[in-house]
Amino acid sequence: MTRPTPTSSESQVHPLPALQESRVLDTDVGAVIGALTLIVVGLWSRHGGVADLGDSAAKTYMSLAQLTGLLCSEAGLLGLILITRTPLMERRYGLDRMFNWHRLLGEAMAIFLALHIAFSVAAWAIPSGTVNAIQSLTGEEPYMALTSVGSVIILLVTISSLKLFRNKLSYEMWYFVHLTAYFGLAASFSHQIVLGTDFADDSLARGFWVAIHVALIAWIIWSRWGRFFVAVARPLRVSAVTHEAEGITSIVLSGTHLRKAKAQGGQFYLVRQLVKGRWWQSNPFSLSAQPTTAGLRFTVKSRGESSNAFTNIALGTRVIVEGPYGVCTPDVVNSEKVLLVGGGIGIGPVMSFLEQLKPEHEPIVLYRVSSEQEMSHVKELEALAAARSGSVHTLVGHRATLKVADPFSSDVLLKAVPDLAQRVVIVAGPESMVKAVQRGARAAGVPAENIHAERAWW
Amino acid sequence: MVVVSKKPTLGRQIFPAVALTVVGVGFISQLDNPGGDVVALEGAIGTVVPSTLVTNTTLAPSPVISVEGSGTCDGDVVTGPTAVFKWGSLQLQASFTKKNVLCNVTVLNYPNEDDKSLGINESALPVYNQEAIEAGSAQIAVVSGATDSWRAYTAGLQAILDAHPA
Repeated sequence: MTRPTPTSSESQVHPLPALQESRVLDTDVGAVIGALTLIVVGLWSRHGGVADLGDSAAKTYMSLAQLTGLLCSEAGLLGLILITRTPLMERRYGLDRMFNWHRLLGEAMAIFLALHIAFSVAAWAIPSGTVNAIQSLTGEEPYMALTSVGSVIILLVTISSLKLFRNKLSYEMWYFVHLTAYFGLAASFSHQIVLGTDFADDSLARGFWVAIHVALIAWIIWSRWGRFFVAVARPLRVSAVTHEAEGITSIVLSGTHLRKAKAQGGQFYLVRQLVKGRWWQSNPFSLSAQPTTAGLRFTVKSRGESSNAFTNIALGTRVIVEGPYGVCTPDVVNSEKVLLVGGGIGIGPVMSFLEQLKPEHEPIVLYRVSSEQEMSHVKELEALAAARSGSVHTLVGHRATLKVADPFSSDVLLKAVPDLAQRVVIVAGPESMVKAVQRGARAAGVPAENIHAERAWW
Repeated sequence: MVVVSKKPTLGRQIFPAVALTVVGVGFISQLDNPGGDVVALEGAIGTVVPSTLVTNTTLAPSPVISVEGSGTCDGDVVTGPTAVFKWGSLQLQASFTKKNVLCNVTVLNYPNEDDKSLGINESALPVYNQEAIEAGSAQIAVVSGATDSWRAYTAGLQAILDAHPA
């Protein structure tokens, strides 16, 4: 059992304070999306987009190509805002939700891109034929060769992120492909300004378009990369490594910079080793103990090339952490009683969450794990629960070997936790388990706003 | 999602949407609006036979841009209406073969009062002429940077073709 312990030089260990709450509202996010859409569609309409619809076929296709192109860009811009990981949104929605929206916007962008290409070819094909149209749109028109390369990259990035293909790629491979999207977007920008008539012919529109792109790049550099370089300048070191169970290791990261850090149980960090050949790989790891000035503990399962590198990490290795992220923190609980459900490695965030609860929460922990060899931190978990007048129930075994079909159906949950409806439910684990718990808890009478899920990181 | 601890006031919820909408509408109203009045076609369509064609120079205050297509233009010559648009006015004259196939387009008038208009039109209009003759219709591709001229050109040519069915 490795808990961060004070070293002799540190006089006092105290838990890290919580990050500030975001003041951004849903309505604010809606207003920004609405206003950007208004401007994009208004720009198209003002430049004759509506008037051209239903005119000659060439004009109709041209108009649709412009509209889909603009909407494609809008989806890209919104997707990049999420990439900034701005605390304004992260503190309110959580990074996992932002990543999910980023994925949806990426899909929308790919659909608009496909339509934009189809309409453009159709518009050019009317006077000159499809072959000539494709020729001029992939090379002859200014900047179109570059744009074509960019489009192919964007489509590849989108395809590699589809669930079907994403599961077949290693995280590292997918991440590397994903990074090329920056180049894809940059490569397509020039044709928008030069060829896209909305901007070539209207200096005010062009100024606006360039300005929001420049502003966004500046925001990404400042927010995303700025924070990255701060993290690089303040590395932590691995101060303890413990083998917890088969394929499961806990590591403690410590450093003097933690004295000014803010974090809470239930949150996660993006962690990377400052080791040759590994520094560019970041892994999302959940805190598995309450973060203190003495250290951050993560419990890691070997699940891919780069997480394996963490389960075998050497003491003293320099590690940089970005974060904390995630909004499933003890802040979501007031004085209600709490049910915590952890599946597999999801027991990590459950433990760090539990540690910050009080006896009034009477926490009950359900620990779902597919085999006994993979159970970790059991004694620690029981001690933490007992100290908070709570209890731990474990459910071990593959689904097929269980006595009940759905271990998280409302009947089963209510039998284990009779006062379930009065509790706040916290769930962390694989997506299928999270969904099963959400379904069962809802059926048992827990209001949706009292169920909080965190995707299981490693 | 974090539940906001204090319930925000209605004003706080509505204000950003109202403010951004006002800014957005204000911005759009400041944009160029070629779409609004591109195709203001003025003047009647006149049909003339080739022999009575008045020399182009007297008709056109600007240099005439013309491209001959293949085939003999031994049919009607139709002078189109003037398409008035943001940058000035544009007028076309189309020639047809005996079989009423479009064989030549002459730009009688185009915006040339400033160097920018002159430059754009002198490079784009011959392309449009060539494309129109090849297509035999007003369904032609736009030249980058010359969208307004394209709108005026295709509107004018379509008016001629409508008045002079093949």
